[in-house]
This record gives sequence, C-alpha cells and structure tokens, in this order.
Amino acid sequence: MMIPARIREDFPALQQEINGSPLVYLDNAATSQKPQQVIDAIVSFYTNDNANIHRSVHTLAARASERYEHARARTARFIGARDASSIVFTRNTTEAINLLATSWGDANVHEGDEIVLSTMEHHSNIVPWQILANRKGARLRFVGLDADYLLDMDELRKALTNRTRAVCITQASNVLGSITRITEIVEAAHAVGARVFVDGAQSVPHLAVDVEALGCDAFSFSAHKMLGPTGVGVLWARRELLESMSPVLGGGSMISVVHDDHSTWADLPQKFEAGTPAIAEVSAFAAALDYLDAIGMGAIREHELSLTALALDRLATVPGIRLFGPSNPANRTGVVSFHLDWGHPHDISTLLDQQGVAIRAGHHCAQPLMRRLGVSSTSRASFYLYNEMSDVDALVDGLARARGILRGAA
Amino acid sequence: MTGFIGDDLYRESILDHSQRPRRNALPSNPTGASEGVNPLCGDALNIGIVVEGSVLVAYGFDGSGCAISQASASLLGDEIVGLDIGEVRSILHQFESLMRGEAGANASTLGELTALEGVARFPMRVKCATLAAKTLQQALDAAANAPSVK
Repeated sequence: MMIPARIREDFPALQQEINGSPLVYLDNAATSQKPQQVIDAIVSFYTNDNANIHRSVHTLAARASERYEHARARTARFIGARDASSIVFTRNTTEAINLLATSWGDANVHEGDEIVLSTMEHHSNIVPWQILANRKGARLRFVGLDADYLLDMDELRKALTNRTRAVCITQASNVLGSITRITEIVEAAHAVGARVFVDGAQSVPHLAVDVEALGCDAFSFSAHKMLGPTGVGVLWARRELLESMSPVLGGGSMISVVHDDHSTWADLPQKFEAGTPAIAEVSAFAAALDYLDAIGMGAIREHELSLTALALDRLATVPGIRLFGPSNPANRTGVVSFHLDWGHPHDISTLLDQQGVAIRAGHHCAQPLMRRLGVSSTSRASFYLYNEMSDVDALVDGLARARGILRGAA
Repeated sequence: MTGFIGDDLYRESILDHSQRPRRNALPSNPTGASEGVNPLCGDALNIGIVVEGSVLVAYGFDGSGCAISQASASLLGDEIVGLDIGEVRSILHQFESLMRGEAGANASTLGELTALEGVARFPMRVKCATLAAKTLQQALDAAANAPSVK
C-alpha cells in the first residue's frame, strides 16, 4: 500500500515557505498539521450547526448534539471500543490521565501501595501519579529500558507485586519511538491484580489500535496529534471502572438531580464531562478519523516505517551524531531523536528552521529519561503520513549546513 | 535576507565565546551566587561573583546550554568585571532592552554584548541570551543581601 503524494495538497499549512524555503514539517510528535477536511468541518459547524449540546430542544441543538455524539461513536470505532459511552472527551491526554489519577487514584491507591511507570514516560504520565503518590503515601517504581531502548520486561515483572495498584505506561515513547508490548504488560499486571493504564498519545496517530484486544483498563490520547483540532483529548476506560469512579469536576451536564445539599450524577460518559465541551473541535475530530481511515492505518504505518528506516540510515552518516531509540524500525514509531557533539539542540533547531525544516529541540517533557540518556536535551524529527522521502534529505542536508556554520566554516 | 542563515545570530564572536568561554569556572570565594535555568529548554547556568566595596572584582560561571546562552554568559563577564555595581546594573538594564528590540537601547555601553543584538529577531531564543543577565541580577541581589564578611 502506498500513500499518494497528492495528499499533501489536503494540508494548507504545508503549502508555505518558511524563511525562504518550502516548509519541511518534522514536528509531528508535538502536533500534526490539519487537512482541509478538518478545517472545513469546524467552519461548517459554526456556519450551520452551532448550538450548545444536550440541553435545548430546538433543531440547531439537536444537530450540534448529533454531531458531537457522532464523533464519540466514531472515536470508539477507531480504537475498537465496543461501548461509545466509555469514551470521555477531555481537553487533552494530560487531562485524561489526571482524571484517572485523581478519581480512580483517590479511591484505589493507599499508603504503601505502588504504581509502576517506565523511565520513558512523558511528564504528563509521571506528574499526576507523583501528586497522587505524595498525597497518599504511595510509591512510584520506575522500570528501565534494555540496551536497545525497549522496555525491560524482566525488570517490569520483578517490579510487580501484590502492592502494585497500577501500571501506567506509554504505548510509544515521544522521545525514542520505542513501542511497548501492551498485551504482555497487561498479562503480567493483571496476574498481580494491578490495572494497566496506557498513554496512547504517540501510538494511536500512527498504529492501528484496538483497546479491547490490548486488554488494558484505560487508554488516553489527543486529537491534535492525529490531524484533529486542539482542545480534544480522549479517555477510554472499561465501563465498570468508569462507573466506579467519582466525578472530578462538578457542574452542568454531569448531574442527574441537584438538591440543596447533594446531587446525583449523570450516566456515563456525561458524568465526567462537566460544562460546555469543545463542541466544534470534537465534531471536527470525526472528520480527522474519517481521513485517517480513508488512507488506512496500515498504509500510514508502512509509510512511516520507510521514512524512519531511511532517516536512521541517512542520519547515521552525520559526523558526531548519537542516535537514540530501537535499532529496528519495526520496534519504533516515526520519532527519531539525536544528539550532536558539535551543536546544542537549540542552535541546531534554529539553523534548520532558517532552512524551512521544523524539528523539536529540548527535553521533550521527559526529564527523567534525559537524565538516564546522559543528555540535557535532544533534537527530534518526527514523521507523519504527509512526509516524503525528500524531507529526510532536507533534514540531513540542513544538518550539514548547520555544522558548517557552528564550526565557523560557513 | 542577505547571505546565509547564521549571519544574524551566530556571529564570529558568539561562536568564539561559546566554544572558548572566558571565566568558565566559579570563583572559590563568591560573595554572591545564583543558579538560573530555562525550564522549557534545560539550559542551566551557575554564576558566582565577588563584590568588594561597591566594585565587582570577579565573575565566573559554569553550566550547560546552547551556544547563545553560553556565549552570553562569557561575553557578559568581559564587560562587567572591574566596574562599579551601579554600572553593572545599568549594563544589564541596557542589555535587556536591546534583547527586547527597543530602539532606545544604548548600545555604546554594551561593548561586545552587542554581538547578541541579532537574537532580538528570534523571539524563541531571547530567553537563551538573557539567562546569564537574569542570573547575574540574582547574584548581585544575593551579594547585596549577604552579611559583610570583610
């Protein structure tokens, strides 16, 4: 399966020059660009169907509610969730994880309990659990990586005890691209009675995901990294888990009956969706999912594997480079982080930007991982379906020019 | 844009100071010290100074970061050692307005620090160039508040 080159034409932001060169956008792990179909969906919502949802009975309100709930069902189908009412819309992955840590964590984690994480988690899958653990007198245990930057499964198994309440794990690292083996993790964790909560922010945009097949207990991701609008996150969790959890935010939409001194909660998923949500953005997210499915997640994965393999080959020829992440592209997503002994990531990023190449430089919200890699920051190129093999050339050529400048030989 | 990309930002003196930083060690007997970090990018600087009377007699730094942050820490030392604290604070003030791209910045008092003026056109990098100045400001405050040991 091939991705047709003409899909680039669907992305207006890619049709521009940056600092005199055609834009080469390689910061997809931070956020993706949006196709015209998604932009049009936002415009059509505000042009034709704008109303608040789940309240008024007039026609516009019915249309708006229909679009919003259609997006929920569409999201469930995209990740293989049987039950659309187990899809909770949040602002982003971070908020989804915080909801879990606050609500589930408050009821289920106690003094002396343990929460198992990996050393390659994003801050958003560390800090909420840290706050919980500190509040409860619980303990975080970090499982490390093997020599090829993959989760050390032996270490994970050793970390699991009858004190483990949850394993909170990324499905794909935002720095290394390393893909974790969720079904194996679930098997081991469930054997000791621990829940498994997956951070899918870097996996759902790039890999076909079926949450029921993975067997995990909860799964979080963000729309904006997969062609959708900002302001939309998704928490999927097993129905019994969501039913057992208390709401975190109180207010409109999330109640059944409000008395003077107490209230009863709405059914799932409204119990967790207090206040007016990002209606236009959620509606437009359905258009993003339609777009991805029309291309096919299998084709997207194949395309990114080719880009990643080429990037690893070409980058290995750059003098003074240290590449991070699994050696076999099959074990990683299209995220390539590297360190150069002749330039700091911020200088590299500025010099690439001057040539139209957008990459990320910094600690990538993964300071514990940076410390273990022995660097304060890295440069990161990350691919998506609209990138082309020539984008890898632009990156490698751009690095050669940056090196000339930083070595004073421009 | 004239010439190539590095012209504005990576001038020769910036590359020179980042690759061969001056005063790249903390003084052993500082009267004021401070640590500065840019949390979003991980740049980190420690600055130590020795103030005798009202004169800054020694300055040193260590840390890690991009060429701009390291060069600015090095260039700063060249301009301020031996000056009265009032003059040092005035230079820091002038430098910060240069980085904000303000027309009124009095470049004549800034000496070699003007090599960094191109950074003002890169808003995402201004915090790299001003980290040393902000950290020095804190070190000066620490020195002013420290009980006199002399």
